[in-house]
Amino acid sequence: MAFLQIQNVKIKAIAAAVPDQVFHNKDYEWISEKEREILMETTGIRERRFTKSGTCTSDMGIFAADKLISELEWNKNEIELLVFISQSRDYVLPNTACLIQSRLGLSKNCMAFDIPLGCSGYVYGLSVVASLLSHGNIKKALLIAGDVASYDLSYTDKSAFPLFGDAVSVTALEYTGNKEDVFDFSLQTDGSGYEAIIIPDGGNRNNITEESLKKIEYEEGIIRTRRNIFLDGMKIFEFTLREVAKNIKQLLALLNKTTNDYDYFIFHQANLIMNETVRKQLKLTEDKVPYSLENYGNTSSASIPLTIVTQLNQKANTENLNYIFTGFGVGLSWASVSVNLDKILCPEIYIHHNN
Amino acid sequence: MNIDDFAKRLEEEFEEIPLGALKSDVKFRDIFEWNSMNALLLMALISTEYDVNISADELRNCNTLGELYTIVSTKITN
Repeated sequence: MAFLQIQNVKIKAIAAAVPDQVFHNKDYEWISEKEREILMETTGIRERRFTKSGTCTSDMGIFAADKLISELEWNKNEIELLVFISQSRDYVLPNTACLIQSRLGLSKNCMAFDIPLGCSGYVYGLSVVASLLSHGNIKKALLIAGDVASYDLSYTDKSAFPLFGDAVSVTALEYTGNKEDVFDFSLQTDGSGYEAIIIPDGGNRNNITEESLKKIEYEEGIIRTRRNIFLDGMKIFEFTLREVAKNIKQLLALLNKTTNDYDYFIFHQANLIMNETVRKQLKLTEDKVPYSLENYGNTSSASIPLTIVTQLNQKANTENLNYIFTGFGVGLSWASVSVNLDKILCPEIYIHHNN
Repeated sequence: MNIDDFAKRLEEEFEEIPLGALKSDVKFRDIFEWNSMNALLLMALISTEYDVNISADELRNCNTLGELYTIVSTKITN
């Protein structure tokens, strides 16, 4: 298993931004009122945020990064690493991180690139950024992670539409030179399950044709095109139950720690029934496992930082806390990190007005 | 655990199942409205209650409670 220990780096700040438009699942008229109730109960998702058409993940990311850089009082010239984790990029090419570097006004001495992962992306992104910073040459870095998932959703697909929300997060990391500042990662992949979460058309394997845009009815209440996101709920559930708790247990065993050594377990926000099963597998008490699902839904790679910002920001600002972050999903890809956050800057959630 | 304990635990979890309705040769999909959400709940229950995981395919191939019980109990003893 890919275990990584990275020293001399720490997280200085975490921020998140969401659009101002709210979509409430009680208004999801594609399904009956009774179905809506059951859906909200079992998924735990009551409302989500959607951007207006034309707004990209990068627009929200730049908005949030600019605000966070000001609050941190960082000099933009000192930021020499920018990683953008997203599955919703501005163009097929170039990488969106390059556009963000320029629009944010970062120096040309900044290395910038995208990592197009989803649910596991935040933890993967932390592993890459922390690793690059640990060399000591680059002192400051930004990790921007999130998605505008709403573009890929079919309103007439009840198995996917009610779950996702748009959000972006910005994490500021710094080289400290202090060996006590440690990240411990466990990162895994099983590409044999790639079809469990997929947008089939639009890549080189299946170019876009007229067929790609045709609406197809797969089951009652499930109509989408081959450009919309598809979810195989059973396969995802089976994968999550099989792998996620095991990944965390293996990491804890390696570190010679138990769940009692941690204040919070921040999981990717998939849906309530799935996340609660993982919580119970690990025998964690409810107070150790916060959720942002209810108001924001599944926000892809933004879900872990968004949960900290919306549920724990007061504590994160004032306390020294030990966390496990775990992301899991599309790929299939999953990863955990053990990390200490000591009084980081964690501002209230930013609202992006995209009028 | 025996099959009666297993049936009882399922009846407690799924309110729509009448108490005592689950027997070894009963097709559990006939007992209550079977849908994908209930399938997920059943997988979740088996995972948290018995500490073993059944796959989506294993569940799909099960018809009777007895078949499901055999899979779960075999996994527990292994």
